[in-house]
Parts: sequence; structure tokens; C-alpha cells
Amino acid sequence: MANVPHGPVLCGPNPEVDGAENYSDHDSSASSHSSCDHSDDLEPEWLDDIQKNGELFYLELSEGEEEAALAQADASQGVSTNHVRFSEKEAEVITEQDQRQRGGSRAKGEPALKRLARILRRKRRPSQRRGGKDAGKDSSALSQPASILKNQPGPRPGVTVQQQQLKEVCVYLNPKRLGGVTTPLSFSGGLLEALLGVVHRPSWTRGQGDPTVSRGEERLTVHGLTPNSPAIKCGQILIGDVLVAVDDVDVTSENIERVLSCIPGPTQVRLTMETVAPVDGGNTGDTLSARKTKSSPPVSQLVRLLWGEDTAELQMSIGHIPHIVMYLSLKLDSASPQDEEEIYYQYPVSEASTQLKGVRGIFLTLCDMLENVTGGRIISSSLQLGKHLVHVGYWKESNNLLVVGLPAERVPLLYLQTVVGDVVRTLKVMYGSLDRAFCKADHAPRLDHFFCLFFQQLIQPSRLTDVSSAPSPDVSGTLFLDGLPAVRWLTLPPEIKMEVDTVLSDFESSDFGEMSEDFFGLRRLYVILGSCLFYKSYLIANHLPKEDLLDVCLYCQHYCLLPLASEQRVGQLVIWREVFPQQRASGGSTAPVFSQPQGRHFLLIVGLRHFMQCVLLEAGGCASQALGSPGPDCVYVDQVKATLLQLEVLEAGIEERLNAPPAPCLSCADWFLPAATTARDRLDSLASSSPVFSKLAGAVKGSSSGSRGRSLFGERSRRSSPQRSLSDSGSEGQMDAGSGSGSSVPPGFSPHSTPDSARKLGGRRDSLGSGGSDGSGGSGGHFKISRMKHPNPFYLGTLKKTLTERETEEMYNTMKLTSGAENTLFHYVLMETVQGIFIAPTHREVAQLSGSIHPQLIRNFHHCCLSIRAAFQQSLPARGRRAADRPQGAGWGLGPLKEHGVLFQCKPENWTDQRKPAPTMTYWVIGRMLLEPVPQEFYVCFHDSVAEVPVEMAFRLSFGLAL
Amino acid sequence: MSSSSNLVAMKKVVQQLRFEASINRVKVSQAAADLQQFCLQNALQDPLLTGVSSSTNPFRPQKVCSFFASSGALPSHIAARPAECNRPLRLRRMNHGTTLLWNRRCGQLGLLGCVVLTELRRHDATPEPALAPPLVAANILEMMLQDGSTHLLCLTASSGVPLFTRGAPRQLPFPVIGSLNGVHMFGGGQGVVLSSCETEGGGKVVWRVFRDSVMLIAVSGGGSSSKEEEARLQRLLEDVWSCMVLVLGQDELTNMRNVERLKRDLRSCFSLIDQLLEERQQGILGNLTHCADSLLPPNPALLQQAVDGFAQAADSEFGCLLVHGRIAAATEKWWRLAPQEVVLLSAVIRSLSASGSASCDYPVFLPHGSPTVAHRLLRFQLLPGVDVCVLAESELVGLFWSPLVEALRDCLALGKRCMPTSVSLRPDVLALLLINRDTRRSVSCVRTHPLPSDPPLPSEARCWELLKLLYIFSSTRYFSQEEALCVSPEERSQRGNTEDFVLGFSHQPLQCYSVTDECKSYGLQTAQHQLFLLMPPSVPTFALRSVATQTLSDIVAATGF
Repeated sequence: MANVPHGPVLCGPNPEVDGAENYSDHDSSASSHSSCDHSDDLEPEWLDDIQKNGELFYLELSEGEEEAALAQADASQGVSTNHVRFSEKEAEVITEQDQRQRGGSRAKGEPALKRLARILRRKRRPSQRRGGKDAGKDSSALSQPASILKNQPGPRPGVTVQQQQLKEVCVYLNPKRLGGVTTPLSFSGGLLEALLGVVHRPSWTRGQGDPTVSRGEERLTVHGLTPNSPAIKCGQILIGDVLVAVDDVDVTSENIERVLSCIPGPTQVRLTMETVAPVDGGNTGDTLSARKTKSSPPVSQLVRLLWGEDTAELQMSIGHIPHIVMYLSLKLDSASPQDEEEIYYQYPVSEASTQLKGVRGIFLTLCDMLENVTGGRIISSSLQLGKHLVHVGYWKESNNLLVVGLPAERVPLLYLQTVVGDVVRTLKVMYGSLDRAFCKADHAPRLDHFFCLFFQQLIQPSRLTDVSSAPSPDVSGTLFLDGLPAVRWLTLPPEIKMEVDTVLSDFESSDFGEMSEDFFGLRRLYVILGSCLFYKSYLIANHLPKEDLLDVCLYCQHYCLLPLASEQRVGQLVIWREVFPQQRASGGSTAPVFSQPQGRHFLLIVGLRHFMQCVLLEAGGCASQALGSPGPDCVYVDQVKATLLQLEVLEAGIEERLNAPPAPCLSCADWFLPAATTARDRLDSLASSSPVFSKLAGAVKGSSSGSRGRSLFGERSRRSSPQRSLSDSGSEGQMDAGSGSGSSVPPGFSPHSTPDSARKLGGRRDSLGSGGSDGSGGSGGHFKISRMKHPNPFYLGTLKKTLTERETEEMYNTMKLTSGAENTLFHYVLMETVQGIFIAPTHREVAQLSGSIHPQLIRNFHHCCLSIRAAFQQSLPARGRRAADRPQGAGWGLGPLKEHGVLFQCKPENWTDQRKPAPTMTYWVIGRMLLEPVPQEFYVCFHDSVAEVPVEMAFRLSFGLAL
Repeated sequence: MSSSSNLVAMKKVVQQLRFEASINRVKVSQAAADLQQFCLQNALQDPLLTGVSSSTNPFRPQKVCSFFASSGALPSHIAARPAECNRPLRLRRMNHGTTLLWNRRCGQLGLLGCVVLTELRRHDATPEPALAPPLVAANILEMMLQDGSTHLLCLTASSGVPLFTRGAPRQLPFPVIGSLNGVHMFGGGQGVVLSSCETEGGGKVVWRVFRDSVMLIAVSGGGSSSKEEEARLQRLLEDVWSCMVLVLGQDELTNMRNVERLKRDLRSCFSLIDQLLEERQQGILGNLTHCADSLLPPNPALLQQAVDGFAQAADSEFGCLLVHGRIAAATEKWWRLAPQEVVLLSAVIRSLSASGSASCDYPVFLPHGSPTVAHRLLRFQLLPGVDVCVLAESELVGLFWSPLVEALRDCLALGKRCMPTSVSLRPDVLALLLINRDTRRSVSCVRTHPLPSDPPLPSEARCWELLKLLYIFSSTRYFSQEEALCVSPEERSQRGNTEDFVLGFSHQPLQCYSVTDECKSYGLQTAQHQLFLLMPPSVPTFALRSVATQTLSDIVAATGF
């Protein structure tokens, strides 16, 4: 490799390729993944995926992910009856599924079933798939032979289930390899040999009649296997087997070429093979586990979408919701008789979108006319289509108009402009300009994919995320956070941060071996302009200018790369494409002294497990000119990989940071809602888990014991917070609380949490007993007159009040954001406009707090932030240009807005007690825009009890922010 | 007076000079060549040269809709091309000695040619006077609407015949009206109902069809830069429609037989509609809130009794007493009218009393109560600024009120404060709007601060505007409106056209505040009241809430509002 740095190497049998490409195969993948990261002398796996224009999008799942998926898939497939491996509870589920499946209704219900449904819906694999190997097959074949044989016109002669058994083999085929590999399509083998690797010699070449020949059509007996082919790699196709069907389509020598040529792109196909029953009956136990690993991995919808599978099916599912994107020409020749000539591009094709397409005249006319009437370009219009309200966003560029229609229930009008602006910017980053993106015919399939992702993310985000991760997607949350011109930042301890930066800087200096110019005496291919590093969707280091960072981040967001990396999903990710960073493209350098070199830019994204590094490269300028459309360069990819591997050492440190208690400590909203209004009720509820309480906690999910555990949890943590407030050092109390709320422990029961909480329960009783009516009265009173006095809902509140403000402040000056004795902070978002980053509590911190009200509260917070930020945005131009030359009194809105707050009231859902009013909790959501000393936007959500000064909070939060 | 007008004139001159200085200059020879070339190119289409053929005669009766009959794509220029497309070039003299030559071709208001003839005395200064290149000057005409002004267009829904246009001093050209109507109609044919549009700088267009007979379009120029403009325009359209019903009755509007007659009849609504559009009288927020602007008299019982008695004597159940255009007392039945009707009736009375007559008898239809049967609205002026009115079948003398003159004078003395002096407002309240959500009444006032403070407080007019904006902002974003009672199902479905941001909240918003450079504002909602307050920036932010709650409790305690 060192000698031949560029250019593909064609090599012989290569186990690495196998592991990468063949998702169905797990025998080989076990060995491959660990080693393939560093393949210095082997052809990289992604080489085959490079497209003609040099672009590369190569995504490979990690092993753990696949296996987890497998286990789930296997469980839900429910074909065989042996489920001894599973715990009791799961076994129940499985049998239930089994029944349902047999009953024919296999969808809806438990998440596992949904999962199943999704697996089953996979394109081109309509029925249950069994990756049966050897002995596994007989049970499967017996249980459901119909699905295999269903397309057969009649009983197949010579096929008897007893002797000749059917097995199904899933292989991954990539027709694109055919183009790249120079292997000539052999005269005899055709696609069967070239693509699949199965050698079949027709009978006439062999000179002797095959006994199974029927009616001139010849059965496809495997006579041989070509090396390094999918067939041999999967290890299940044996010489002598007969290929019966491909994806349930019966094949013979007559039609096999036609069937195989229909495979459009890299995909997985299911081959039905007839084999001569070489059953090794000895190891049934083994085959069971083999079965487990053999079934094809169901990957999440998102990944499959990224792979380009399934788009049609996904798109179909949202077909009834009107949405559209069109790129129209405003310049019209009135004489042109042709219909639809002005449409350069349109997506998707559905009934609702056809209707919207039909009225494109409205959009064109409005765009033309309104500019003259109101003096501003048109931004949006709303229209009613059937029952749906659709917002249409416009973007005019030169003589063309981009129209994006989105359903109002997904995207509020307030945020439509941001959404459209982001899409446009992403497109511009990817293609340079809208015209270049839309007006090239060969871009159409890629744009289809692009907009499919776009609409899927907006309209049904839940389908894309894993079932397990987010129960209810926070639509306004994603809208808000994605819409911020910033990237989510994770603050790291300085020493780790320094190391990360050092490693990145080392890489960026490109001062090593093959990348140095001295090595070959050539100009280097690319100059590294900078790079940024993500860990589990958090930005942890950035060496890019802000605008470039935002460009890169927009791309990542659009392709959902960040959430992908946050779970253990990415085995390997290599993305390469030419980009057009907006700042550089526009030549927008304001300083006349320094002019940007006119070069081409390339984006290289390499992901390994949780790390993802985005590198911006420049060709031209001081590096050599890029000619044509160069593909990714192995040297650079390998160097990034090496960097990431180097960084993996730091993973433990970063994980520690993620597991650490939240830096400004957070409270869970549920702690502030009393379970019941009186002390007696409260005791009752704790003793017998009253309906209210169990409902509160049970609303999350889980069994009754789980919810009970959580409710105790809540109580305990709630009690721990006064303790914390009494302890001397805030940090110690923090650790206590952090471990107490079970950061790494799943929300069920950990063995020692039960006695612990029981003890707390006892302690609670004690305190109530001793405190008597005093304590209960205090807490009851809080909710009646919460607005006026008694800001502290806790028992020790009155005690704390005796401390002076100063003392308490000293106590928590570091860890606590809110003032006052209690920590009343629920959530926050702080955006640094200059750096283009924002910080917010990490997903894990939020998950730790659990609670039933809390997620609701966060959703509400985000929704409110949409409104607040929209108000800020509105007032920005007013501040900039209008303030001076506008006469006072002329309508210019509310004026430049600095701070905006909304007070919310929440009640527990389904409050059953008729006699008493539901307890309520009130909290503020406040947004504050700071222009000094650095422009910041700060959004915070805290309990109503303490009046806060947001400026101070923002300062406290941003102070010492390691940047 | 003269100095100030002088100042204005000077300012104008400076502005104009600035503008002229910023114009990109080209040599006159070049501009002339451009013009000449253009004229030659378009000579064939110039009616001045070729004459007007009968088929393209712009003065034929309009047939706008025929262009939308064909389905499928609607190319912009067809949609925008009403019959008068080739109107002759038109000379328009601008104020400042420039002449614009422009053509409404294709209805797109594209400015085809433009000559700016500078005054001759410039000649001696510069040997070759600089002229604006033809299309640069499009900026001059670009904004057909002034900032913040609102245009109202009314057309018949079926045929698109314009009934009237009101608002902004300069009328929208007919092609614009035609295409505004056209796009909506075209969409309707395709099953898509266009409801609103937004442009940069806050310009808005809102469409609404009432009873399948009348199409109302509101166009507001940019400038207010507030996204909430749409809510205001929607409300405006509803009010305008109700005004038309109030004056003409629903039958007249839905069964249009003679459009020309309807056009004539509609003229009688103009004063009311203009009142809605211009919001001439400061401090009347009823149009916006749909809550009757009220005035809390010092002695409510006395006046209430008198109004009740008077209405009874007039053989009516509906009677009310207005002071400064706000309701001081009304019979119970009056309050039971739909809130919008109460607001509109107040508006009618205000416009009647503005005419200066001592008493009048005016037939009205109630848009919700009796859209087809007319009632008589009798109005008597008791004192200047005090009116009493009944909806009645018979009339009665005003001597009923002579013993109450003193009480009425007290009411008058309240002026714009709306509240008896017994209510002590905190000194740091600039303006307030208090709404009783049950009775749909509102009280509002802006207090004038005689003392000049260091950062100048917003003027009174600005305070009113801010109050309105605050109301619109809060009510569209946070505080939902429940007006189910006065909204017919048909209208509710139409209102579904506008998205409800409020519904997105999982928890209920109770209060909100915002801090701007000018002032601080606070909105508060309880089960019964909504209170909106403006306070000077000097009030600390954390004190806003206590000021607001205290103000609310003070007013409610003192007046029982």
C-alpha cells in the first residue's frame, strides 16, 4: 500500500471484503471487523462503493449492533418452538407472537412485533426469512413450506421434503462490482457466475443429461463456486445443491439471467436451495445457536434508508400526508405548449403531492406578484388541502423557485423558514448551488434519496429511530435543536480535551509519512483545512471555522449520522464527497488582504464506533489541483482511522464524563409534584402504591414492580436533594445524588436498591411522624399559595430559609445554576453564536432523571423555545437596520426583544381523585439573548419557586466552558 | 407649526437627495440608447403606435375568471393577465420632479421603461446628467404598499367582480387584484384552499371566502415585522364581513342579483370598515380582542338602573350607554349578544356619533343573532361624548336621562382612564388591558407620564400599539381563545385554516413576559381574566410578576370587574 498509495488494488480472496459486504454472514464477520480497521496491505472494503463521480457513502454496522438485532429478529421470527434460551418473560412474548403470527395478524402491538413487522416489510422479502443452516432447516421447512413453494405452478417432480430439503440462504449481491471489477462476463456463467459466484454448466456442455431436467428448462445445479464470491463466502451453498428460487421467484436456466439482471443495486437476496440432506444430526444444540446467527440482520429503518433500500415503502407510508418539494422555473415562454415544462424536479409522487403539483401556478404567480405588492420576497403561504393544513415555504434563486410543502402539524409556521433555509444550505453545500443540484438529470435519484430522508425525518421520525431508544420523539425538540445555527457540544475535562485537541492537531498538521510532500517529492493531494470530532453525537473538538462547521454539521444532520453514532451502530463509516462550503464558495472573506484560494473542497467523514471525524480538505490552492472527480484517497482515510483509533484510548475518559452527574445539577419535574395532597394520602400511596402514583410512574412503561421501583426512586432522590443542600460540599452531594439516581443502572431494580429505598421509606415515615402536621402542612400549603410564598416544597425548606442568602450561595457556587436553597433547574440550552455550538444536558442526563412529567416538560420547553427563538429572530433585523431610521410609532413590532419568559402550569395526567383538585406545579421557560460580552442565546427552564436572573444563570453556565 | 412642517419638508428633501445620490449612475447617452432600443423592440406592442385592436381593448368588461378555467398548470403570466393587459403606457408624475414612464404589461407590474428627468438646473453642474438605468428605478415602484398599511379587497366569490377596495391611499392596480383573486380561485378548483401568504419584512396576504358569495382579501404591507400579523388580518376579515352583514343583511350578500346595486349599497359600510381598518380612535381594542371596550363608571348601580329603565320604557331588552365610545352600562340582554356583535354595535354607534347628529335611527342586522331580520338601532346623544342607544321597535324621549346628567359628567371626566379613581394603579404601570373572559368585556388604559424620564418612555400612541401587539403575540402563541359560542361551525372550519401554535404545548401557559429596550411587558391569564401590562424598563424583571398580580387583584377588588 505504501508503494501504491492511490488506485484500487485488485486482489484475490479477501476475507475483509466479505465481512464488510455480506451482512448476512456472521461466521466470517467475527474475525474481520477487528482487523479490517487497519488493513494496510489489503484493499479497503469501501472501494467497491465508490461511485463514478468519486462520491462514497459507505456504512457498515458494528458487530454488536448486528447481533443484538439478530437476537431480536430471531426471537420475533418465532418459527421454531424452541425458546429455551430466553428468560421466562421473553418466552411468553414469543409464544404470544407465535400465535398471532400463525393467526395471520402479525403487526401492531409490542415493540418486538413492530420490529418483526418491519423486518417482514423489507423490500423484496415479503415473507418470513429463515437463515436456516443445515439442521435448522428441517424444522423451518416443515413449519412453513408454503411460503417457499407458494409460487410454484404445480408440484415439483422429484422434490420430496423428506429427502430433498429446501434451505434458504441470504447473500449480499452488489451488481455495481461488475462494473468495477475487470472480470469479463464469462460466456457461459453469465450473471450467475459473475454476480453470485455459482458455476453452473448446462447439460449440453457436460455432454450428459441431467436426470432432473424438465421440459427443456434445466434446473440450476451448483457445479462449482468461484473464489471470493458471495456464494462461497456465505458458506452454505454447496456443490450439488440446486438453486430453486431467488427471492421467491422460481428460477431455471432459462430465466436466471433475467432475474439476476433485475437486481438494481447492492442488496440482499434470498436464495432457496434444494439440498441433498446432509443432516448431521449430532449437533442439534449447535445448530440452534447457529440458527441464531444465521438469520439475516434486520437493521434499523434509518440505516436501510441510508443504504438506499426501502425508500419506496417508507415513502408510501407517509403518502397520505401532503408534502412536496418542487423546483420550478420562473422564466416561462408563453408559447411553449409543453406541459410541466417548468418543473425541473419534483418529489415525491403521491396523490396529495400531485394535487399540490397541480396548483404550482399559485406558487409561481404569488412569487411573481407579491414582491411588487408588499416589497418583500415571498416566504411562505398556507393552504388547506383536504383535512390537512399545509405550509409552503419558498426559496427563490435567480430565475428559479424552490417550493417545499410541509404539513402544519409537523412544522409550525414559525419555523418553516428555518427548515427551508437549512435544506437549501445543505443542498448548496453538497452541490454548490440549487441550479446545479436540480438541473442535472443524473442527480435525480440522489435527490430523491435526499428528500426521502428529509421528509422521513420531519414527518415520521419515530420510524427512523430505534424502537428502544426514544418512545415518543420530540418533534419540536428536534426542530428547535436542529434549527439552531450551532452544534451540540460536550464539555470535557481539560486534560482529555487537551489530548483530543493534540491528536487532532497532529492529524491536521499532515506532517507524517505519506502525507508529507517530501515523501514522494510531489505536491500533496489535499490540504487539511480542519476537522471536527464527534463522540456519540456530541461535538467534542472542532478545528473548523464556524461556518464550515455548520456546513458539515448540516450534512451530518441531514444524513442522521449523529444519532447513528450515538448508539453502537457504526462499525465503519466512510463518506467522501465534494462539498461547497458556503463561506468559501461565496468568497465572503471580508478582509481584502487575505483572499481565499480558489480550490475545490472535499469532505471526508470517517466513523468508527462512537467516534466520527469530519475532515474538510482542499485541493488546489497550495495542494495540487484536483482533476475530474477524484475518489477518496486511501492514505487520508487511513490516517483519519488511525487518529480515531488513537482517540479510542480516551473513550473511557469521555464515557466517564457522560456518566458523571450533570454539571449544573438538574432536577426532575416529578420531584416537585406531590404524590398526593396530604401526608396521610402520601403514606397510603407509598404503602400500597395508590392508583395515582402507579399511574404517574407507570405511564412511562414497565411492569408494576418496575414502576414501584421508580416511584420509590423518585421519592428517594427527592429526599436526597435536601440532604445535598445540607452537606458541606456541593460536589460530594452531587456524586451521591448521581449514583443514587442510578446513572448506569437500568431503571428496573438493582439488587441493592430495594432495601435502600425501603430504608428511605422508613426514614420518611419517621420524619413524618416526628415532624407531625408541621411537615405535611408545609408541603400542602406550598401548592395552595405557591405563587406567593414558600418557595421550597421540601420539608427542610423552612429550615433552610433561616440561612442567609449568602451562605447558601457559597455552598453551591459551582455546581448549581439556580439561586436559592433548592436546585430548581429542569433544563437548559445555551448557544454560543460565535463558536456555533450549544450545550444542553446530555441525553443520558435527561434519561437519568426519568420521571413521567419530565419528558413532557422537556417537550414543552422545546416547543416554547421555538416560539421564543422566533421572537428573537424577528427582532434581530429590527435591531440591526430599523432602529435608527424608523420613526417612532410606526409599526415595527414589539421592538428588539431581549428576554422573554413564559410560565407554565402542569398537572399530573389522569388525576382520578374527584374530591381534591390535582396538584399543580408551575415552572418558567425563559429565553434570553445576550449580546455582550459574546453573543449568546440562553434558554432555561426552572421551577417557579425562585425568581431567577437569566443573565446570571447564563454567565454561570458559560463561565469556564472549555472551548 | 410652520417650523415643524418646514422641518418635514427639509427632511424630505434630504431623503430625496440621499436617494438620488445612491442611485447607480449611467451616462445619459447609454440610458437613452437603452430606452431607444427598448422602444424599438416593443414597438409592435405599443398601442400608441399600432392602435388598440378590439380584441385587446382594455376597456371591455372584465372577464378575469375565464383565464382560470383551464386546469393543469397555471403559468404565472396567464394568471396575472387580466383583460386589460395592454393598457397604454402611462405617464405618472411623481412628487419630486421626476417622471416615470411605465407599463402595466402582463399585470406583473414589471417596470419596463423608466426615465428620470432630472431638473434642468442640474445640467450646468454636470455636463452629462446621470440617469438611473431603467430597471434600477424599479425600487421606486416596488412597494405598492406603505409599511404597515392594510389593503382590503372585496370581490364576488363566484365571478371575481370587484365590489370595493378600501385602505391604503394608493389603490392596488387591477391586475394585482385580479391575480390575487385568481390564485385563490384556481386553487379552489384544484381542491386546495389558499389561506394566507407571508413575505419578507412581514407582509401578509390573507384570503377568506364568506358564505360562498363574498371573497375578502386583506393585504398588509411589510414593516410591522411581526409574525402575528396574520391573526390580526383574519380577525379583520371576519369583522368586515360582519360589518357588511350588519348593514346590509345576509340575504342581500348571499343572493347577489345585481352586482352594480350591491356595489352602491356597500358604500354605506365604508365608514364602518374604514374605522376597522384605520383604527382611528386610540384605545379601542375591541376589534382585536372581540371583547367589548368598557368603562367602569364610579357609580355603576345608578347608571345600570337608568339604562335598564330606559330600555324597558323603550319597549326593548337591549340598551346600552356609551361614554367615549366605551360601554359604561348595558342591559343584561345586551351583554348576551355575541361578543363580536357588541363590539360592532359599539363601532356603529361611534361612527354615528362622530357624524355629530343628536339622535338617529339606523337599521341593523345582527350578524349572529338575526342576520336576515333588521332591527332599529336608536341612538340619542345625551352629552357630547355620551350616547345611549337601544335596539328597539319604538322610540322614546331622552328626558329620561335629565336627572342623571351629573353622573354622566362624572363618567366623562374619567376620560381614557376607564376606571374610577378609587382604583389606584401602581405608578409603574404604563398601560394595561384587562379582559374578563366570562363576560367578554375589556378595560384598557394608557397612562401619560408627564415627567420625562431618562430613557424616554414610549409615547402614548406607541403604548397603544405595543399593547395591541402584546395582545396579539400572547394570544396567538400562548393563551388560547375560547370563542366557541360566537363562531358558527362553518367559520370554525375556516378558522382551521390557521394553525394553532398553542395546541403544541403539553402544559398550559399561564403567564409570560418580555423585555425589550423600550419597555417590559407582562401577560397573565387566570380562569376568569387576562391581563396585559406595559411597564417602563426601569422596573426590575423579577418584580414584574408581583406588579401584575397586584394590579389584577386591585382592579378586581375595587370594581368587581
